[in-house]
Amino acid sequence: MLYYLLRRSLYMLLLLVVLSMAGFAIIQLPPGDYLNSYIQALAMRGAAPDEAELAALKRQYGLDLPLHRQYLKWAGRALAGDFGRSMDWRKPVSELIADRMLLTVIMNAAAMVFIYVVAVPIGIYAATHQYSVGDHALTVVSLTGLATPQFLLALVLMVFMVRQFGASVGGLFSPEYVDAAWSVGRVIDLMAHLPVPVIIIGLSGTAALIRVMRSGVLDELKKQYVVTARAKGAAERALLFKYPVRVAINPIISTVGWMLPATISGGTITAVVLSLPTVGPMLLRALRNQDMFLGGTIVMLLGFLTVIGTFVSDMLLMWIDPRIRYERST
Amino acid sequence: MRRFRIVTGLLVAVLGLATTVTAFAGGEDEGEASSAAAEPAMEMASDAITGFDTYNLDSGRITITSFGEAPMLAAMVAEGSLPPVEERLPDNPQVMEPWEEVGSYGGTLRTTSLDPTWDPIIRHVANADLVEMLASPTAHHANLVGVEVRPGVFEDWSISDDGTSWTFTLRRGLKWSDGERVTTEDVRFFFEDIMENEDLYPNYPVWLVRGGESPEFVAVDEHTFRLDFAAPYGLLEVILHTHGSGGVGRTMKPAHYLKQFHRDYNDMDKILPVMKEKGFGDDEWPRFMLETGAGLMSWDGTYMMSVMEPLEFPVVNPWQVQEVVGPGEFLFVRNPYYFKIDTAGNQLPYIDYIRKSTAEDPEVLSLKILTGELDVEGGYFVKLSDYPLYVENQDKGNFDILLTKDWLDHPLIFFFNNAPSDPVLRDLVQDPRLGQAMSLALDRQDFIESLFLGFGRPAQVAPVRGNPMFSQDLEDSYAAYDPDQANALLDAMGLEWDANNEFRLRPDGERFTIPLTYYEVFPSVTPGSELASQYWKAIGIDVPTKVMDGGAWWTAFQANEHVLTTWGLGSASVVPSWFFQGFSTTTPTWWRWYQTGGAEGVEPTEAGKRVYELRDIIQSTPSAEERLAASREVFEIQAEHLWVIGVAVDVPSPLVHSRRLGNIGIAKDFYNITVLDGGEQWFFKN
Amino acid sequence: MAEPAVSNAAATAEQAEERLYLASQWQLMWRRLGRHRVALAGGAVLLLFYLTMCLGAEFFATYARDTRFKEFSFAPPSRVRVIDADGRLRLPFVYGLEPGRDPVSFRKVYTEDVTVRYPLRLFTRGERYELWGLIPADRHLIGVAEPGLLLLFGSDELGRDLFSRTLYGGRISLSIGLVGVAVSFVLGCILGGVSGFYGGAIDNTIQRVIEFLLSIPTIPLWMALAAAVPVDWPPLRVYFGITIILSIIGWTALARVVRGKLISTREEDFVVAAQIAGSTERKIIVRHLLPSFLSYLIVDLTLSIPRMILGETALSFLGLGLRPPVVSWGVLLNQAQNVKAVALHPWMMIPAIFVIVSVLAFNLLGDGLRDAADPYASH
Repeated sequence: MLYYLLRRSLYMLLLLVVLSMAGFAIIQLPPGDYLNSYIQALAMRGAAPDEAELAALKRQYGLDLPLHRQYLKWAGRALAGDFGRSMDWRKPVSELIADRMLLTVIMNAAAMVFIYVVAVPIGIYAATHQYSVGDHALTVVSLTGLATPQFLLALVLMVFMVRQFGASVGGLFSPEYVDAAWSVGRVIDLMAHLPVPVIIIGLSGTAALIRVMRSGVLDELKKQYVVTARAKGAAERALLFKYPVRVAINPIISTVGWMLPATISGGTITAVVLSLPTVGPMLLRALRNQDMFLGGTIVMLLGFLTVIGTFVSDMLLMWIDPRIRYERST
Repeated sequence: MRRFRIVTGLLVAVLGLATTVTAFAGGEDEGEASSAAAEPAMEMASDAITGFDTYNLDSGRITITSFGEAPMLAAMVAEGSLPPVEERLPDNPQVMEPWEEVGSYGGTLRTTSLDPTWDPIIRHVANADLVEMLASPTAHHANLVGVEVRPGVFEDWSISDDGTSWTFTLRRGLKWSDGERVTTEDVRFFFEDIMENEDLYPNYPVWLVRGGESPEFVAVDEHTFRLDFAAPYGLLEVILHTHGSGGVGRTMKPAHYLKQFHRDYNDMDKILPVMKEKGFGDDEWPRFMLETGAGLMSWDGTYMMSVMEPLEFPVVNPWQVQEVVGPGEFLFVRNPYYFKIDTAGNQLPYIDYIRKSTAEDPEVLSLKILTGELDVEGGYFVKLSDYPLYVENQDKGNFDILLTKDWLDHPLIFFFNNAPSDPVLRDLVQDPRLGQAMSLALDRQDFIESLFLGFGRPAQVAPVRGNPMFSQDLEDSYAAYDPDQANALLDAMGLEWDANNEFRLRPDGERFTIPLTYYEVFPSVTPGSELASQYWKAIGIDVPTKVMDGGAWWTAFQANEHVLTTWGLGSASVVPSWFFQGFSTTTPTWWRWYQTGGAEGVEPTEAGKRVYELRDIIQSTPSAEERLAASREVFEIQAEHLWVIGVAVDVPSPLVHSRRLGNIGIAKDFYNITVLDGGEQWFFKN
Repeated sequence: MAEPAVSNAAATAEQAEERLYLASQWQLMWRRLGRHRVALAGGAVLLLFYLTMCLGAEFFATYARDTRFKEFSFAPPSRVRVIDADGRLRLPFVYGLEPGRDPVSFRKVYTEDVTVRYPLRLFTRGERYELWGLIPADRHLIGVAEPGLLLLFGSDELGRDLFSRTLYGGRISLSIGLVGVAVSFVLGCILGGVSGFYGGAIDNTIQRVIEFLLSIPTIPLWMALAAAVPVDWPPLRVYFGITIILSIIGWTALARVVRGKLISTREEDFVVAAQIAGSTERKIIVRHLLPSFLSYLIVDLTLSIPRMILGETALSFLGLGLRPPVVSWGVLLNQAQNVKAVALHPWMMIPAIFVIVSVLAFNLLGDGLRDAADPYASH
């Protein structure tokens, strides 16, 4: 077990290094660099870029160095916990991300809870009532959630909120709480703003989970031990929850770990449309502007979450289902 | 050598403010100004020094007897944490005539931008200029012809007879927002300690280089300095004023503040901890310096720097950053040392705070306007195509919409790279008949109806109405819809049709294709280029359109890989930037040729060379008339060659403002940015 | 009299059972699918979509893709009537449309001119086109005589018929799904197959690559890949570039399924038997292993097509995918992605219904196929 953990950690470390390089390379892949994005932004505003300024920036941002040297420079500092400064925002990367990471995790964790709370019961219901009207209706409804492009759904919901309730849209706080310190009022305000993004982000994940749950329970219900138990007169309810549901929930638990990063990544578009102060839109902007340090750090961070998440999932799975041996789960 | 005065007549004619203005101009007693709204201010000023004599109006002398200040500042004065208002104001405060009435103090202005790092509203609202222009319907930042210029941070300025030396006088007694005096040391610091430091700036900014050399800074006294150029530079006055080049942040820096971070003035041992705290590496001092206020990035003055880093950066603007609420979210507070007063002696601005937020998505901004969450919004982020939406909701959101003039006089233009890499294409593009034919092929009325809600009128790229260079002939040049003539011109160029009669063929037998590559600078460019492409197909030119990412477009541009592009044009005036900049934004190879004195790049056509000659004249001459004549000739050449094809002018730009906001509604005939420039005299009606 | 009947019935049942046992896996699957009504409905919808859009958009569309009606920007969907202004019942027709502009909001407004009627016609002559680039024709399924206008879904900003554009857009979006899935399928089968069959170092490498691809957030990956599409590519090639982008992420899941299945079947008796019998590796894979889980693959494919369709719309939203003048559902939705469209021109959102319905249909069909492919299904 110890050996396994060690091997596993080493491997995770390696993956992280590769990820950090990939994050850097991905941002450098498009032609040009941050300065081109900067020029285009200036030009849009009606200003001709000044050559003196560009020359100064190019040197100061180290953009005249070859890519691998830029990377090493950044990676060297990152090891010491210093992710450099964002060229675009002209602020330390760590400061920028810290601001948004908390809200991102809160919102996406809420979306995950929504997904599980909705999907697991529906999945069980659909399995126990296979091919009933309820099964079909739930399937179609959940699939419609999956099938609707998130950006359009988010926009329509926003317009609806404005028209019906005259509600303030965009962001996660009302104007009066944006810059307030954390307080009971601010938490309540945040809660009031959460449902729309959480539902939109959650909807797309729900259908898939319902499907996994439903087929999992169905598979188990057909198995011999269930038939036997039923024949012996076990109560249907106890029968269902004692084993089949517990077994069927395994694949879902195995995804818990990387569900969070996946939700963050998948929720980016929704976050952009709803103008949420989360890392998704920041990442998008960093990528567009080729703001390497910021973009690279976020990509690495999300990758890190995935790697850790997978690890957590595997551990959970081993714990829940003793049949799984750790040798196999590498 | 020049007199800068408010021409009241202009204001009267423009705003229909005859009564207000004459009252100000004629009134000696303070009673005329003490409208109900101004009363709190006047009370505050009751114990101020009297008999202060500040400002001349054309038709008379206004005697400001006392100054008013905001209650929040009065409280600080009472507390002893701030000097009294008369000590904070410069010796000669600038009187800004309110557009409608003397306002009252207080309130928070709410606005949003789509870009967390840049704000087209604040940069005008919370900005102070070196020289100012008097708000009028023709006043445009890049269009100084026909505009009254008056002092701003500079009190006076003059050019030597040979045009090589400029003398400027800083407003006496002007103070930075931390109370320190503004002196020529601040200018010297900029020119000598920042611009001349090779680590900070490897090159000198183009707009300051004349005759291949940077200017020599000479401090005459504490508030007078001289810039000696190697060659005549008559245009500098205009450049000082245009937001693209000049501005406070590009001429002077708060030396007393920045010296503590400058390694020439302070030990690196003391600077390093600050750098570390801000996330800079030990070897990043130049970058640290640039991002801590020494940068030129803020082409709009000091706003950007003061916003980014650090908060205590001193400014001369009406508002300064009080708090960075979050990335892209700021709270601005009034600058207690701002140098302007209203006609009743009240220190401006009227509004206490500005809260600036950021929306990631334009539609969220739209919705925020609809719900009345924003007090002012305009320019880039309020699309004309959304106008119907706003009109139908303005009562619900309690806002008004001004259809202001757009600083983009031409919301849609098409321009050529005059020297594309493909030699066949280059010959064709350099034939004026191609541009003429492509211009005649466009049904401009259709563009106006489909893209601009029927607003505007067909026009070629030319000086706009109200500009002394305006000429109907220039505006109409090849601007009619005449496909027959267009076809005749192309036939005359020898461009035969292909076998299917679908497209024309180039002289080398290939299909005549001009790729149109662009990025989404303004909302009209995508439908606009689709539309144009269809019209050009009708005369046999294949124009495939392709929208690109902005950064990618500029990369391709620098590699001379573009042929035809669409954009908007902001200043068809004395600074016809697209030509004046020497085709630097259209034909990079010509620009290179011009800059290197013919050593590199591609030699322009005769007409192109003539534009460069004229550019030199426009830059050098101290004579406004000569400058005008040269500019006019540039436009005459353009009208024939059509390097830039225009579509329509007078397409308005909606500016949305809260109905509670005073001193703004009357400005509907102004350019949108001119309205925003008057932010310090807006106020909230009770 | 009764007995033969019974034995007849028994015989039929027996025969049926025998057929069931003898039936190939495919026949079984098909038979079970036939009973899955919802899945069949999904399949029927898809058949209709692919027929009208991918194959015959030229014929089914009322107008050509880019035909403009200058005066008619943002015209609402035509109202097809059967009762005229005088209350008389008629064959379906539309009235003439008069464009105007609201004097206050400057919004385009349209009034019906009840004095002119344009009856709807089937197989009407209209704009010329070349079906599949080969057959010149000018017949359209439905239309009205000029100067009448039939805008079934209304028109867009430039006055183009949205119905026709939706059909042409569907051609791109639906085929992107197919092409993308085909690419993923090949990649997934080959890499997953190699990984599962050979195991060892190759398996390890491929698995690490998959894990790596999965741990990079989707959007940066898309952006990087979209940036790799050369700028001077014509739209059609960009289209293929985009499908490849979508499938580069899509193949990983499939490869895992293939690998997993291979590993579990590799050890099964029939493979071992084949190995002992001296079959070549290639033969074992193609003849024995692949068929044993092909049905799973098909299910997986059916379910990944809708992901591709949605992915295309998301890419367009991010400005990374197809862009005008190409017309796809993603491009059309991008034009509807604003408050003005939702509030004033809701018909601009009609393409979304097509996206939803097609994604739904694929999923329902996929579910049905999955149930049908399950050899243990008792249903």
